Amino acid sequence: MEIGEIRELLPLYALGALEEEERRAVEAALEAFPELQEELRALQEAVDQLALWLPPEPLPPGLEERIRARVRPRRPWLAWFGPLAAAAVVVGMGWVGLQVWDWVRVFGDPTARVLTLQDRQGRPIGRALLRPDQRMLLVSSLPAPPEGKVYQAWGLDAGAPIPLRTFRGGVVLLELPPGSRGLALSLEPPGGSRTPTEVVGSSIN
Amino acid sequence: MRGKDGWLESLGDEALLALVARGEEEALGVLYRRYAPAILALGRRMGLASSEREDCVQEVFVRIWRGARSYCPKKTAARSWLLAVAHHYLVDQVRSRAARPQALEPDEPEAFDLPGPGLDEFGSLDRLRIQRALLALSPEERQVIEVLYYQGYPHGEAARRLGLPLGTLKSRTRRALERLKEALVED
Repeated sequence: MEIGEIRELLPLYALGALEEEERRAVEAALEAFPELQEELRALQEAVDQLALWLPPEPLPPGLEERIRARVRPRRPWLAWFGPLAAAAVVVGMGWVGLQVWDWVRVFGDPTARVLTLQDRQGRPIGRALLRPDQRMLLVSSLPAPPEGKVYQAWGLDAGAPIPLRTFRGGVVLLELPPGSRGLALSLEPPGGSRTPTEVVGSSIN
Repeated sequence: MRGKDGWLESLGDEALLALVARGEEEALGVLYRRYAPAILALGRRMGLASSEREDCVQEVFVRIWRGARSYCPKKTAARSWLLAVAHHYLVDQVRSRAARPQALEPDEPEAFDLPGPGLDEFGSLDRLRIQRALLALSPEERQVIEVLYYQGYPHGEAARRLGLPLGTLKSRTRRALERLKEALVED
């Protein structure tokens, strides 16, 4: 564009009355003809008055805060963390609920068995609910194991005791090997043993 | 929201825009309080409903926040830049919602009526001064301002609506702005 053409468009540019393409052309031309910048500035100041002379409107309540909320920087990880944590809690609670419900249903299963555990003096130390699929819920009243020891469960059948998982007391989920019909508990070093070291109790039925 | 950042109120628009470009939210708040009343008024003058005007102002200030870095004080006065951002967005809304105000005859009192008492920093005396300058324009000059600026028509369409050759519209527009400028300087 020639400088004359640009000058002709400056008032329209200042009024915001150019089409997008023309507006860009004027802006590009202004870079080439910086002497026009001062003229444009004066025209823009005149155009400003067209907005400023109008009777001003009162500020709507809360609008400033809404704008601030939109421009305030967000921490992306924080924005994601809340919903993710909530989802994890819901999923976790759902999973726990399903597990609990799964075990509650076992009480109505006539093929499920309840084992009673006694210590070597014949005192009861816990009970275990054994499902037909050999999964077991053990609830014991054992005290915390001595320092440097853990409890270990053993599956009992006709042969040697079969080592199962170690635990520290309370409620434990176990899975008896196929064929095992009884359960024994012993004190072992951390990590467990292949054969029982110190038997503390066993099932009596 | 004023309180401790009251000193910002004493800063000029250029300095505030520079602070906005650096992410200073309080500076945006000052510009909002300084210009939102005029932008709301402009939206009303352009025929937008109250809720639309609020939405527009919100969007305009978000754009100012995001675009402040592109502002060059050597090229444009900060006030002109701010009002141009606002007018540009309002025109887009008017065009997209087909909410153009009914064409006002320039001589009708509503077109360039006496403003009410001032609520902003600009002051009612300043507005009175500008109104006198506007009334010094010829009816034809006020008409092109009305159609181009307040109704937001691009110049080609404005020329058709006014039944003017494009060249006449351009020269009339230039004359209108120059006379406005002169009247303000003389006042």
